[in-house]
Amino acid sequence: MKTTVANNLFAGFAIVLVFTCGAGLTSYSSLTGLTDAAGQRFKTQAALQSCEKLLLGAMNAEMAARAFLLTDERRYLPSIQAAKDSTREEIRRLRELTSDNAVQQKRLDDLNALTEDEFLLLQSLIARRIDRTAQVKLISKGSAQMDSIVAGIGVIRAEELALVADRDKGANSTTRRARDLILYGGFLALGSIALVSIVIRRGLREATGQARVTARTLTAAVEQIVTSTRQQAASTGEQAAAAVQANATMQEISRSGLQIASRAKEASSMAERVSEAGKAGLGAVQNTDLAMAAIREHAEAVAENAVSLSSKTETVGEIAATVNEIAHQSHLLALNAAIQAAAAGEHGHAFAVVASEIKSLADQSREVTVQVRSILGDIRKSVNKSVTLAEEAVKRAEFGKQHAEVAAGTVREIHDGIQQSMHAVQQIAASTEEQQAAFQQAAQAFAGMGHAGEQTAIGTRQLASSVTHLMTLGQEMAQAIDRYQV
Amino acid sequence: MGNIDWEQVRPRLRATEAALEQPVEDTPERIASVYRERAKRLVRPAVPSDAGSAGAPMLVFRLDEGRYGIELADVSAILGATRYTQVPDSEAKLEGLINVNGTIRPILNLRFFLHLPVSGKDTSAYFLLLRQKQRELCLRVDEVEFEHRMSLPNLHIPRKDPVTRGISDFTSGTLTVLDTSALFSEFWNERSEP
Repeated sequence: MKTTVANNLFAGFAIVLVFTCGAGLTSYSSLTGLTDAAGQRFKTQAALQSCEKLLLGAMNAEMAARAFLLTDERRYLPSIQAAKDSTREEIRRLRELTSDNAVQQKRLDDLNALTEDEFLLLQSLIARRIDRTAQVKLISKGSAQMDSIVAGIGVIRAEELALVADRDKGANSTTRRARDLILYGGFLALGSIALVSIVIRRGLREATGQARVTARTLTAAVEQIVTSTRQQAASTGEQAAAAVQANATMQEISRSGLQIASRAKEASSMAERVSEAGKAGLGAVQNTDLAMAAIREHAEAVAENAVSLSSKTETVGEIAATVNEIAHQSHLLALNAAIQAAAAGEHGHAFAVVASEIKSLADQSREVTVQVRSILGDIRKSVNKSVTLAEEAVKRAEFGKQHAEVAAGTVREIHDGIQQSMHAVQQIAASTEEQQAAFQQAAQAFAGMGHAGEQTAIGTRQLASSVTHLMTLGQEMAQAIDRYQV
Repeated sequence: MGNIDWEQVRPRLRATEAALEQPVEDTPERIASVYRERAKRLVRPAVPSDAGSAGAPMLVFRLDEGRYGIELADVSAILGATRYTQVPDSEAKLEGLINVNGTIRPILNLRFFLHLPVSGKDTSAYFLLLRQKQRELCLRVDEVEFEHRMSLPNLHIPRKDPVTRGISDFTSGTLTVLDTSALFSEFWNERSEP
């Protein structure tokens, strides 16, 4: 448990107070005991005096009675009555003084009975004396009772004396105990006070040291607070200026937002048109796909026809080769015919002419077949090229069809994207309108922030002044703590 | 690839179809023309009265890049492409042997006598069967063009070669005229003393 100076002080003073109260209570108790003992002793002393007075009264009554009986002088009678009253009074007083002692009360009852009998006896003797009928023997009886009374008083007195002795003894014991308690209690209280003083001094010293350190730390912290507060004041001013600028910026953004909203609406309209164009483009691409398929089919048909034509061209080439061979043989035959015609001389002139014609025809046939073969070669090249081109066309048509399909997919994606973009632009337009309202609210908020920032700057400057004052107080407190030595 | 003018293609196709539908036989006008041309040639004399001035008929043939002529009267026949047999370890002048209607005839190596380089490719398609003094031999040539009348004394540059008579102008080039007798003599080593 962490102890503090207040706790130490409280504990110290509590201990001292406990010891002091203990000593005081003990002293009070002893004093009360002594007072009671003194009171009891006083009562016992009073009882002893009452016993003395009672004995004296009884003896006075007896003496006066004896004097009256002996002298017959009446002047002794009042003394008897006074003695009787005194005796009764003392018995009553003794009853009161010994009311807490039942034995004494019993003894007083017996004594009262004896005294009353004695008084009755004396009264009787006095009356008989007065009547002259009294005898000396009665007097001797009265003397015996008187001895009993004296003895009874003596017992009561001895009892009271014993009580006095006991009470004196108890009072002495109480007095010594009270003296010891006061003496040792005083020493103990002084020791406690000294110990508590040491503890409190140590605690105060530690507390003072901590307070000094705390004061210095507080001063440093306050200096930092001052610095921070000044910086905060400057920052708050900058913040207020920034809020003003932000307000202006928000207004510009708001204006830009209006333009964005306008452009977003235009973009939405444009997107709708583009969407329609995308639909048309999608249809066109699908038509292109179909057209590509048709082109592919036609190109394949062209290729088949070209292949068929190539086959027929080969047949024609074979025919042309046959014709060429025939022409060659005809040419050879014509040459031999011409030779034979030349060998026949003039008779072979007509044959030579026919041979010449045959040769001419053969040559023409050869030339034609050469041309045909050349043309067939060209046709074959063209056909081969056509086949190649048709094949390429088929491939390109297939490629185009694939591209058309890809383009269809792309256009479809573009269309979908345009749809999404259109929705997005519409959302942008709607969001921009909401954003516009938010910007206006934000502008108002920034204006409020600027005003609040100005107020904050004023408050911060006041706070800086207060903190400066606090720093001065802290320094003064540190100086005061430094001056306070424990 | 240029654009196709289908308007021009269609008439061509129609014309082609029409041409294919025409009959293969010659028209009567064509036949009549041939007959007229034949008649004109027939009315001309077969052998001119002055054979020397008109020139002797020559058979013109081609060998490699050169054009050569030989008197038509020395040619017994012209054979088409026929297999011939080369003779191992034979003389260079003998190119091989050929079967002509069951008779084996020698083939004179004309390139040997004309000092022509040996051709790497065999393009010869004709064999000329020459006959002189009951002897026959063959010449392997590339192409036979037909007869040509030529005046032998008009040869411009007589050659010193023993198998040639000289060189004459011929259409757009020259014609080397061969001496048939010299060919036979050189082949059978019958060179006459000067």
